[in-house]
Amino acid sequence: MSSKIRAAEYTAAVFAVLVFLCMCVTFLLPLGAAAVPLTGTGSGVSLDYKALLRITAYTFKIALGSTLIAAIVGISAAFFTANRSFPGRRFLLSLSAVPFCVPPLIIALGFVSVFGINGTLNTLLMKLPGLSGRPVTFLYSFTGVITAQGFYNFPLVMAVVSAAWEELPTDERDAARMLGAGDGRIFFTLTLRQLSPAVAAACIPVFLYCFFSFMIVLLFGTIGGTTLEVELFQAARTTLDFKTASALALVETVCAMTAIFVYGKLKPAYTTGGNEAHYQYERAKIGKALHESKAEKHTERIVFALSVTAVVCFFLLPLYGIFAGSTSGTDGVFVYSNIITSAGFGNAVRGTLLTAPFSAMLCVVTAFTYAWLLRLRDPEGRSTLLQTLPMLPMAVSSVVMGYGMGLVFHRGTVFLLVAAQAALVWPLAFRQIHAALSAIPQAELDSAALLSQVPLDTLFRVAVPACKKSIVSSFCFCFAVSMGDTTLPLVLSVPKFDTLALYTYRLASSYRFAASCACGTLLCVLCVVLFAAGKKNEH
Amino acid sequence: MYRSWDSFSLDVSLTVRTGTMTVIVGRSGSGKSSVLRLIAGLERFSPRPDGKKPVITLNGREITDVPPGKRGIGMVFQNHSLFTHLSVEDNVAYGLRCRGMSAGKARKYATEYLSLFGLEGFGSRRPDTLSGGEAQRVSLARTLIMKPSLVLFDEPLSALDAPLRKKLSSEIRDSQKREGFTGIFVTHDIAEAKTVADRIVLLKAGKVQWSGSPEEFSEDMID
Repeated sequence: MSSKIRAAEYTAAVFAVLVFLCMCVTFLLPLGAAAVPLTGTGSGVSLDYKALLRITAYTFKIALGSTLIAAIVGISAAFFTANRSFPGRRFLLSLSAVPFCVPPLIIALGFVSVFGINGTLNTLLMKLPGLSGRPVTFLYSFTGVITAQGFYNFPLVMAVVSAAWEELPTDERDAARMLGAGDGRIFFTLTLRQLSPAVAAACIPVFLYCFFSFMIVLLFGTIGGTTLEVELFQAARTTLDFKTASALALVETVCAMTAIFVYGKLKPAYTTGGNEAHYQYERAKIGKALHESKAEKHTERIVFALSVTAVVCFFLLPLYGIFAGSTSGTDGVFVYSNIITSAGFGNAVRGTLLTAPFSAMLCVVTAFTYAWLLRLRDPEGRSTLLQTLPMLPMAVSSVVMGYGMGLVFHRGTVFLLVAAQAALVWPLAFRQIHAALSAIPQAELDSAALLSQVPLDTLFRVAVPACKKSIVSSFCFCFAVSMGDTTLPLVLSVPKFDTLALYTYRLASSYRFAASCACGTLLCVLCVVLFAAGKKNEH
Repeated sequence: MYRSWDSFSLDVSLTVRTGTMTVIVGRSGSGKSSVLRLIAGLERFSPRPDGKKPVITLNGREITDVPPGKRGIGMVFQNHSLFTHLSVEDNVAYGLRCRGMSAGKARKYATEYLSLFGLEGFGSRRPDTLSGGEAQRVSLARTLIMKPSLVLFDEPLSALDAPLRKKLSSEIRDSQKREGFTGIFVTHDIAEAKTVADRIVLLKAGKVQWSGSPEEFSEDMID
């Protein structure tokens, strides 16, 4: 082994540990700082107890409503994707990538494009005789917020529940059937119970995403209908009421930590399940299953039709609406050439390239370091504390992180933005890398350790090559997530700095809707390409 | 009965005498378990090349298109398939509840029935606290409490160790004589087959290769 290579390996290992420690500090420091204003003297929290309670209750209402929609649509869709064969099944499953690679801002623009006051639907309906006002107004209300968030996140529930449904042991259902149970009884007495850990494991992250939702609430929220996240942003950035901001941050983080704790408890129950059945039943066509009665077949067809209609109307149409919205202005398709050649766009691309790749790199290094430590210290996943730690960033919102960063450093910089994004996003990379490291048989690691006197050889010659694909895949994934992040760049507000996501938001808030949709479409395409590249590499 | 896959076709004609135990033996992949699943109604027949419709009759009644739960057939699965979230008592009472019996009555009957299988005091336990042998006994009780006309055993003892397999195969034989049900038992264990069987059927690549008494059967026939 060349001494240069050995030195490089040691440097890389030390660098990785330093990055990991820096990430811990980056995560904890702003959190601590966010709590400091609560302990200081001066004016008290401007929000009274009742207002705080009202905002918290409304945040819960929004998150629960959105999760409920995601769960209903997701579980219905999962039934069909897991148990039935139909044209478009694989396409439906592939939609699970959308919540990861299409930023919420873009989805919000899509909804505005289709269901907005001047959206496609209202424009079409206004052509009907006898209508005086715009008939579709639900978007700028509680219903609009939960519809957009629920449908945006339903593919996450669908993907997890569908995979779990396919893994359910068929023998138990067969046994129940032989004992005279019908499909309904089997579903309610067995399947639902067996699926409940998967449903919970899928719904809790969705609940958290909706609990922290910022952009959609900011765009569609009504006066008085504000969430903790939006109120915190207003207090931290507009009214500069730091005590109130800190109180809101504390309430929000404690609520999210509780959800994370429940998630940590439920997740092992879901992941330990496995298909013990030796018969993989064939997927029947819609309404043609072997054991169904006529009424059940009829109901199945109706539910399928309703699910497809809902997904098309509230998911696919808004996605298409982003593109349609971009060409709805006076420039038509030339909006793209205009925007690409604009100075603002160039600046945004530069900003994105300055942040997203570095943020993704930090995510991967942090994730790999922790995953490797976990593989060595707790290979069987017995320590709940060690296993739950990487979930903690899920309990901290971008606004809280940005607010804390602002309190510590007073002024946003590109470096802080990269660090803050990495501190929040690395758990996404951790999941993939940890799965790959866990798949390495212990005997393989033991053999490697016995064959070399240098412990780093096991790391660099066994572990890293074994999860090479996961590393590349999670890099692409984090790149896409970082690129689509609007909230942190907005909260940190780095002077004279733009990213593609932030530029899209700026265009939308300055009422340049077509240009905003065009920029959003380009951002969306880039995110999808990166995500797809990561997925392809993973397979 | 007829079932076709890419690799081979299962084409079997089988008659089982009432009150006897027929054991189907054969190598892995010979189609033994598929025969049971077709009889149970858990799998679909493939259309025969000659266009004839496969037929299953039970005590003179055609049940080919009858749903599995209404055929009067019980099945004991390889991995016992107990419902892990229900107690032993509720597992045994499950079928009775499906027939509309009240929860209290079904539980009481299930508790009484468990004692026939040496499982007194097991009613409130969860399936995951049972040993392999106990779980398989519960599974047998859950099936037999329904008084099925035909009981299908899909390699019920294959996951157990040899001494326990021997003990339980004798217990199954005893309960078959006691309850008088007709049974079809699938196994790849020759000793088990000889303990349980009134008649042995050898299946090879989806076809009945040989059929006769346990005494006439020898292990060489499988090769």
